[in-house]
Amino acid sequence: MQRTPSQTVGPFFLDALIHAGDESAAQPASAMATEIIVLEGVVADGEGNPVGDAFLEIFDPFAPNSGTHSNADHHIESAGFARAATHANGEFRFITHYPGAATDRQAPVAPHLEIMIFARGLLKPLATRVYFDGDAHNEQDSVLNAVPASRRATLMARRSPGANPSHWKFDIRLQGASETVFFDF
Amino acid sequence: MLQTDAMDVTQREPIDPPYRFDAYGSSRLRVPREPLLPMPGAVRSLRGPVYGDGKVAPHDADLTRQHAGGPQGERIIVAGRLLDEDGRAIPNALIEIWQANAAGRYTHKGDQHNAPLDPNFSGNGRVLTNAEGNYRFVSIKPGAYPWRNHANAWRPAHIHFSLFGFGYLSRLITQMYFPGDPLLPHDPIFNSVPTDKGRAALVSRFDLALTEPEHALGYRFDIVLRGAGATPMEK
Ligand SMILES: [Fe+3]
Repeated sequence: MQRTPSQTVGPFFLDALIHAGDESAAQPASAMATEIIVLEGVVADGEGNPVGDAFLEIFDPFAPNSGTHSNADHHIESAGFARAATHANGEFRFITHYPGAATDRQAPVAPHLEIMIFARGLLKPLATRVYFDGDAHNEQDSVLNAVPASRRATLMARRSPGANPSHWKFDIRLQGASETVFFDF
Repeated sequence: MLQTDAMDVTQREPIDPPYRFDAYGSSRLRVPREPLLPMPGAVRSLRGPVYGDGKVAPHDADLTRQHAGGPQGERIIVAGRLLDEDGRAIPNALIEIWQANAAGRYTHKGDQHNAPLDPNFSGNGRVLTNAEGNYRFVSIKPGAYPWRNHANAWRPAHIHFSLFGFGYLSRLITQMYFPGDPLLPHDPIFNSVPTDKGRAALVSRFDLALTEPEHALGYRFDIVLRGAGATPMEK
């Protein structure tokens, strides 16, 4: 069967899709040992203007119990999954866990989160990944290594000094200078 | 993670719109110009998030009964089946919808169209598919609305749909249109879909069997999501 084509999310999704609490993928302490982190950043367009009407979904494929129901406060109950809209200044903010390292068919996989971006102007979602700057596993990650070295930094969240829980900054540039690396959806 | 084991989708007829579609003005500054990297093989076979049924209340699927009174407009029933490319029904899947009211106005505070709001209509709905992948909403037919994409630009009547399937990459956001809408040939968003077959798949079908006497017109809209790969990643 031929699948149904994608259309833009448009500018008016907020009341339907964005609910308080959905920006958190944090689980009860007993369910997960790794630290809680804040992942935040700004989405900007090809002229550097903030994109204030986008939303993002993050998914941690290795979250404990991923694929099961978890967060009781969530409208969307799935471990490792969260959704957040950007504000007028382009900023988004997630609360999640520092993801774990893994192996895929014996190949090492560095800690990362999958990200989808939806916005007016996007006729289909953009798919990217966030890795964590300084993580010892990054060097061996085959996906990261397949990204041209000059663009690899666009997939890297950087730790902001001082904050507790730790805050990681990940800006997304949809187009232009330092355009984020996106994967073919 | 080797690309050699991944299905080569680039050889097939394109189904989705391209990112860059200049007739749709908002796309110009928001789409990548650098080449896209191949989707990692592990993501192609990644299982998507799943949902509990605790958060979906019965009135979430009936947009005409979310307020004290009934909304203005022509009552409709929108129903269909959620399937994957292999024809498998997708049970217990979350479907979220949003739409303008009968006058073509969204409740969203950013909607500047001077058509009236309807105090009895919010335009947001949620439902879970049943064991056979079927879903059903009750609503009112949305109005067309103007936008500023080009001179005298009007969106055809549509309902926005957000869907999840078995695989992470089965995620879909789309729009359902109504048969015979004279605005369809003029709409760049609808016409960003590259094939006749693809565009036809976005137009619901009037269904007399779904229509309820003295109550509401029935429109059928089946949705097909990308199939899931087989191999989940190892921990
Ligand atoms: Fe719309």
